[in-house]
Amino acid sequence: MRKTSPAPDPFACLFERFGGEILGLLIRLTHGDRAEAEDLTQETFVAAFQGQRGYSGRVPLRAWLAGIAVRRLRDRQRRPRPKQVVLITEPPAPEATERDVTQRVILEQALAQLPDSQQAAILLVLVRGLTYKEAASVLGEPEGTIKWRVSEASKKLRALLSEMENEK
Amino acid sequence: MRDCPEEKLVLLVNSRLSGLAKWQTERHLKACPRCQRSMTEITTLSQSLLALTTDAPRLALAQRIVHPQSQQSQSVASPRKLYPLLAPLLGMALGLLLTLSLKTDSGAQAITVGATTGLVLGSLVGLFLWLLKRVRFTVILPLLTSVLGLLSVPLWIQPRPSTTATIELAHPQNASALLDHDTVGTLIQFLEPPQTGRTFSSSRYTSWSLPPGQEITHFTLTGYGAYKDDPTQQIQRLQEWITTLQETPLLAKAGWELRVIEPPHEAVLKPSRNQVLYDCCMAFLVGLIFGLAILLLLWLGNVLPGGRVGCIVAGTLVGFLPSLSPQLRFSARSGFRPTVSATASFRITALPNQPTLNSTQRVHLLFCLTQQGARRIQDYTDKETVTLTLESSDVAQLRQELEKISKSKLMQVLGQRIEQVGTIQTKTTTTRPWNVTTFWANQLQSTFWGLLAGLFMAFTRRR
Repeated sequence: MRKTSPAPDPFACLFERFGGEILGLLIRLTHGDRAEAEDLTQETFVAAFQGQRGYSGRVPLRAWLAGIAVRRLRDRQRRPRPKQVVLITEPPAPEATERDVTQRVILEQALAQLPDSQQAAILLVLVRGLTYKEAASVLGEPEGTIKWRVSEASKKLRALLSEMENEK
Repeated sequence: MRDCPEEKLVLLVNSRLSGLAKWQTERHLKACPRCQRSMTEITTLSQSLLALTTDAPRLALAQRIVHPQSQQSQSVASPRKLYPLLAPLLGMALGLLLTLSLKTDSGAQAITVGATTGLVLGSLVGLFLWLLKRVRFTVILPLLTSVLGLLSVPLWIQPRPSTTATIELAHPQNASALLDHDTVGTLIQFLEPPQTGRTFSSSRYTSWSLPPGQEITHFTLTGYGAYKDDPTQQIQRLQEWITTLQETPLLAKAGWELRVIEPPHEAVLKPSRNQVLYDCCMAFLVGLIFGLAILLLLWLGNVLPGGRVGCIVAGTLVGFLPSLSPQLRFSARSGFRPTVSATASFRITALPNQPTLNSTQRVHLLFCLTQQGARRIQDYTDKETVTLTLESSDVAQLRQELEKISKSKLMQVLGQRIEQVGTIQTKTTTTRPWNVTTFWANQLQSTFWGLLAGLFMAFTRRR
């Protein structure tokens, strides 16, 4: 008798595919508090899996998950609790080249220099694929403000990237 | 360059543009080197940031996350899962309660009907809840309303107790064709005594055994409703009807021979198969349209600008529009409704050697000659003259109708002469259609429905 392989667990697949991205986003948005980011990642994926029927498919999965994650973060931030800030610089992957490492560090520093609001806006819109309107709804800000923040942050980071390209 | 859509480029990178906006941006991108450069930069930035902000979760995190399915498996018998099963039982209980509170005389039968109806409706609600988790709401809702429409058909299609009689009218070979099948049918209806509560049907056939050109028509006269608890009176009314038909000279004069096939008797009036089929289709269609209308309102609630207030204002405005129609505006100003009436007098006299009609027969005759809905005989006390008034909103049509009467060839067949006395008098009268309260209630009715639709849209809005 031929052995049939068990069907892949959709929850595990979802976590495997987007777990890193959501964790990374939350680490930035919590100012490097990895413990809190992990808690929030856990909450996000459980909430996403339980509320999967509410997912219409019109929004990319990445954007939908990012929306849930930011809403969870905002809920948590509303609750008064002592905030512990832990700054962590992730060690680069072993196979990365020296140039990649340099670029990564510079970009990391540039991102850290951006105001929190611009950081959140660009990470949600440019990286996680939310529309301006969706990001405005998630962050509780006007759509015009989000557009301006994304534009400002994008200009600064692009200038930095093109400088690095020229130095190559 | 003018209108470089950098905001849209950001969305294009993440495939969040669609339709016209996507097409426009892509078209612009092909022609604009600056935007092409921007697009490359944005794409690089997006990828770099994605790589930068993606952290591999530690094994501990993956193990720490409690699988939601394992949580679900622990709550297999949770009350939430049992809701669909509870709905039929709840429906049955409500049906029973309702039946008992109505205190009907039919006792056990009524209880069974109430419980069954409750069970069916409850099962439907349960099925709806169950389907809601599996199939899209936009499919379920019209389906449910259509099924409800179908289920309501037995409420109005029911066999009704009635009384019935069948008469046969034979058309002789050489009789005049002027008093044809349809005119005879009209004559029979107008010779009906008041309060018969009748329904009327006829079937016509010719047989090989009949002489050529001869045909026989069967008319079924059925009475119901007028004397619900006293079939004897109903039978008496039908008998009176048949007697009137037998005594009227009009039929005999036109050569129709009347014979009673079935004397009046009690019967059960059953809807025909075609009627049932038609009603089922209509009920299904109405249910479907109702479901689609609800979906439309749900959709409109989400797309109308101005949030909840916008929905309410839009609904109320649309509801208010019918009150701006000219007729209602006239009513709004005056509180009266205009009616046009046309009156003419006719003298009906017998031709030489022909029987003279009495006043009732003359009235019946006039009624046979006009099919106008609103009509009344003003005066027929004079032996020869009958004054007829027709009402409508179209004067020309009324004149035509009255002129047609005196030109009818039917009178020759019956051995009578009809001539118009004087001219046709037309008059516009205004009648008070309702009192002030009812008037405004009617006026505001559509606005109220609009407001209701607006509230529905507002409170079913997602955000």
